[in-house]
Amino acid sequence: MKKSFKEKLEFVAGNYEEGKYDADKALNALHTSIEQGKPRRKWWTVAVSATASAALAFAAGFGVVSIVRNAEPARSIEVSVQPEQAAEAHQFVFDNTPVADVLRELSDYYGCKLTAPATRKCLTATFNDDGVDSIVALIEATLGIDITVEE
Amino acid sequence: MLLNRGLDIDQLYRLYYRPMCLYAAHTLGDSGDVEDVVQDAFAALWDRMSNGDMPSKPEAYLATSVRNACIDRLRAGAAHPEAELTYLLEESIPDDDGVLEQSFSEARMWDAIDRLPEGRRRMLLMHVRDGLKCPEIAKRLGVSEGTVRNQIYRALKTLRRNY
Repeated sequence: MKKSFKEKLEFVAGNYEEGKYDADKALNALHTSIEQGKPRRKWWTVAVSATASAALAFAAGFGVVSIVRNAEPARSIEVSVQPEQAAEAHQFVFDNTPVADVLRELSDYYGCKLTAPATRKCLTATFNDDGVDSIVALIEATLGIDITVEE
Repeated sequence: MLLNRGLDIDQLYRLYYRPMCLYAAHTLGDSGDVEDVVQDAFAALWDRMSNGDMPSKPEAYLATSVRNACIDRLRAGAAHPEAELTYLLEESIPDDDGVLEQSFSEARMWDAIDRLPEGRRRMLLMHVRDGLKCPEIAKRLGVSEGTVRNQIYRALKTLRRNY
């Protein structure tokens, strides 16, 4: 059954975020994969504007992939599992964890208040304790959400 | 790499990426899986192109790949006891061309929203997506209600042209 204009608009607006589902970004991710060898199937490089040094493992839906850091400001990072725990540092381990729970745990640990617009997104990742700003930046870039940090 | 219809992978992305994402979103909802599924479909297409095995109908190929991947995700989600079951049941997966065509129309609407002036887009989204009434929007943005109504009206008029 054909949708009405209103139904279409509600669906589109409900999903809309600036820069989301962007063909050029996705195309760049593919080209990056091609430059590094045959493009992978079943997992994806996570395109982030990473400035952090945190070691992360992202499950891109299919499992964890291997990390390559580009020389330039990393436009894409493939992530690999770090099976060994960082020696003495605290690690955050999230497994398909709703964003709200992720933010709650980080808030409790760092003693600040982290909030984000309601979302059903989940995160599978392992972070070293590299500071709340670094971790927040990576989560924002990866999941395409905005997180507010209040001291 | 050129295809038999003269389209290269860049052009295929620009033609089909967002419509395919919206097609997947109809099944998977607003989840991080959507772009993974669609990227995987494009990667599969690229693999075939690289091997000289170009599908005669790239659009149909991508749509089938995306649909099948959505089914796989639903099954995987259903099997996980702790998964947030926000996905539609498999029986509800859209399987007709109408939904795919609709996704192209929705992608055009999305592009039109992208092109709106920032303030107008913001007011439209506050109204349609966030469910705020004009007085509340005006209060939050520090503008008059008349301005909000006018901007939303103009936004809707623009979007209707793409419907």
